[in-house]
Amino acid sequence: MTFSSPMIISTVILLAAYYLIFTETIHRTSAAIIGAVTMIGIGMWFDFYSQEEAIQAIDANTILLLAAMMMVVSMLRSTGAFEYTAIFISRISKCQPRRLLIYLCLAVSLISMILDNVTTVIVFAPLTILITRIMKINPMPYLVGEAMLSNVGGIATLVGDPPNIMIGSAANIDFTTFLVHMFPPVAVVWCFTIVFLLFTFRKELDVEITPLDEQYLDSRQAITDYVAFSKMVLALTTIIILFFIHHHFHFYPSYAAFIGLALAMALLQPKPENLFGEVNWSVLIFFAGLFVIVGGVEASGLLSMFGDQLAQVAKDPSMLLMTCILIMWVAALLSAFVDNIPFTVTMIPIILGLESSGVNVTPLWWALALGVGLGGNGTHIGATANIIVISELEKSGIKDARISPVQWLKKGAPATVTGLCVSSVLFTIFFDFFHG
Amino acid sequence: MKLMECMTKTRAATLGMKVREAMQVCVDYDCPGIPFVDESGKLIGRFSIRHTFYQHCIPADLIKHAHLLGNGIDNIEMEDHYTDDFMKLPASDFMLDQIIHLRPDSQIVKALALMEQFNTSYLFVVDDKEHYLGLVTHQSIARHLLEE
Repeated sequence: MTFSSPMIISTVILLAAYYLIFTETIHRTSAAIIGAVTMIGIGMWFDFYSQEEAIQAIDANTILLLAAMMMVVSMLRSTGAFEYTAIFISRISKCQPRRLLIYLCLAVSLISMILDNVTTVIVFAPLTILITRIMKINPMPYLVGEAMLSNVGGIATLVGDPPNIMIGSAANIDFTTFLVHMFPPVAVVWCFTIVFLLFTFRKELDVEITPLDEQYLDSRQAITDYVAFSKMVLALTTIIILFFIHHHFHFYPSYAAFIGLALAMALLQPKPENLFGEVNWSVLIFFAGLFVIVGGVEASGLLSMFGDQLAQVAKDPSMLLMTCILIMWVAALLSAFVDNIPFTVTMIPIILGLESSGVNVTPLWWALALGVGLGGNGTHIGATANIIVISELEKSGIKDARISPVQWLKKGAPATVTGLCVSSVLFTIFFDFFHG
Repeated sequence: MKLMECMTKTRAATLGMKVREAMQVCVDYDCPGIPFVDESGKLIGRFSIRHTFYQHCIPADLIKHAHLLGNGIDNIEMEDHYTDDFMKLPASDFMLDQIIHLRPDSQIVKALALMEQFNTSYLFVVDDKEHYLGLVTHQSIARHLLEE
């Protein structure tokens, strides 16, 4: 293995940018922009990367899909649909603390399969605190459960988590194929996680609940505009249907999302400037910057060289399984402590390089998706949803509601390891299914 | 019209004052907030009843979903919040750094514009050395207009 000057230079830029991102020396979006600009400039100077290649490195499908879904979620959120759902679930739990935990977590997981799990938790967390405040119970188990299982739920679909969108886009995996392969292991991991939560929070859940009567929390006030709500349900249903059939029409998932968005805009006629204000541009620019940075490293030839080395091992069918398990655990370990997006963006060209070496990389994509998704539960900083939940619990001012980083580690690490063990076993037993 | 014409002279909060005393001043002078001044009388901050309630008495989850609360809600208690413990806290714990102030010869229209810009219902009047002279509220301006 010989390293050329462009390989060394691009790696230095990549590591410097990742250092800034992970240490949070400056805002991650600023770090990504600085890294991308440097990579293009140096790449042009040393003649290994051009502006055209940098633009092509940005996965427009990922960026546009995220932007469209952010706008759809914003419009749906303003109708009060999430609030209504949370109150409805709390009512049907009929004052059973364990049932309430299962129902809330199930709802958050299902919503996170289609919509951004961060938004789901942002809406559900304060409402859950209010519900538990009225019920006079500790909100901590419920919020921790919501964060963890929204992370787990998001793994199941192509649109559930940004890494999945990136993987699906790079590997040209359609929504249905993603769901068929990821839903079964996620469903099993979900069951194990909820059982673990019920066990680990058994003391907190062994309490009497004050009934959540209409006089305390008025669900009729939740839906602010029934007509708008109906229109948004129609638009969202259209998007979900299109996600299931987009590959038959050769539609990108982003185009399917934009069809639903266009329908929602036609029906609701929101002010575009307000709608665009709801898009998290910082996240989108961060992703674009990362694509450009990793594109530079790829253009230097380093990633394909890594791919060639890895291909020597992965070409052996028996070693392919080991490679998958290794990727899953390494991805989870890294994702527990650092942002999983940079790792995913870096791994994608390496795996694509393996494919060009004749390796069947299909199981590697599933392993990567499971790893980066499950790892987020390990620590309090592993996923944005975790940070939101911790912040909401602190703000609540409720005694015993706070969860420290160590407490989270005690709950999250076993849940993550359990999830990874279950996934590894399933991967081994049903390897042909994931291999196909 | 100049601000000095509709200015109300109030007591100011000083470092060491408790929440109870600062609130009492606001109630006595019927104003939503009072300034914090140092030993020389120079403006250093402000005490706002709204901000104090917001920071200490109302949880964020309740604010976000206030419209969902039923009329019969009676089981959310503000434990410790309205008790002596809260009133005994130093008022400076709730001091706001953002102070909007004008000179006595400033025009009322400027005061109204500033109050809108900063989404507040009062501002302070100070001299050239930023010593506190009094405050102006929407009510004091309206009262002055009615009297004229």
